[in-house]
Amino acid sequence: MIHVLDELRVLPGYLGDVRGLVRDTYEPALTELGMPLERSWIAPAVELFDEPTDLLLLWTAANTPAFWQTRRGAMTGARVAEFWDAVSPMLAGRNRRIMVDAAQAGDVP
Amino acid sequence: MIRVTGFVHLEPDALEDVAAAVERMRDHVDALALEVSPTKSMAHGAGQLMVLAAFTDAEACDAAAAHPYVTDVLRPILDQRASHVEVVRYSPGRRDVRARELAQGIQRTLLLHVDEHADAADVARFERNLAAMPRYIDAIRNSALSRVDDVWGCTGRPWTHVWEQEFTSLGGLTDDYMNHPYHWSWVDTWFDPQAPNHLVDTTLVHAMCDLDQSLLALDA
Repeated sequence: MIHVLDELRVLPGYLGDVRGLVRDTYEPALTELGMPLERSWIAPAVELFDEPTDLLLLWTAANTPAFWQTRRGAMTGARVAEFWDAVSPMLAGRNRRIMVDAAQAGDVP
Repeated sequence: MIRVTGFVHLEPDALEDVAAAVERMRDHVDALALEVSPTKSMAHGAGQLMVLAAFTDAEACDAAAAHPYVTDVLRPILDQRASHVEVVRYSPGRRDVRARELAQGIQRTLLLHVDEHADAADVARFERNLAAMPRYIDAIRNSALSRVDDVWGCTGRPWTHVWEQEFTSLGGLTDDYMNHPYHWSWVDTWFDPQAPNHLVDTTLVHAMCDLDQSLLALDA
């Protein structure tokens, strides 16, 4: 199992808009490509008025072929690019981590 | 040493004739090595024929390009039979040679364009990450990451880097290389438009062919 964690630093006042774009655009696109959303969080646990709030999105790919399928599909399909174009002005920054269970390191099918 | 790598786009019925014409360069030009091999079907943007050449120095390379066989025989054949020819010239950059005697292997060449506006420190880190792949992936027997000096026939953004690897078999590329976590969870982020550190253009030449003898192990 491969997990992809998107860490979005959402500018004050935009959390609802960003969550809506994730729900309506990004999540359906990645789910269709083979990497569904497993969990989402905000940190801190309240939307801040005057500082960015982090929106964390945890995606799951069953194995390496599923990861590559999603990766290639996201690159060639328009929906994913449109999502990032729409959401980027609402972000102070972002990060992406590609992870496996520590006990599984080096042993992903 | 100067390396020249070419990708020839052809109709299938022209492959044999054009490959033979390129092979005949051996009789005329002074090359350290010349490999002419059909591109594997899984390649992307790489045409049907790969030409890998190595020359002692820039002078030898220029002399080969100006040789009458090349200017008066080979180029007219290419003009007539090839729809497109793409060529890069470069001095070998960071090399990692683990199998000097590698023979009957697989050559993989990736041409890429790094964003010219990218921060120099990020580019240096990207190059370190890419060049370190053989430390993690044993199937990469020899490799070289080089900056491109000259490009001919490129239809998009000009290639800035050549990332070459040599494998003992195609599985080393399609399985070990593609499925290694160092590749997909670390190096690939530089190539992925969804990743914030992305700095490689999405248009690539991803090519592989049979290889008689290692070129990456050649000394100038």
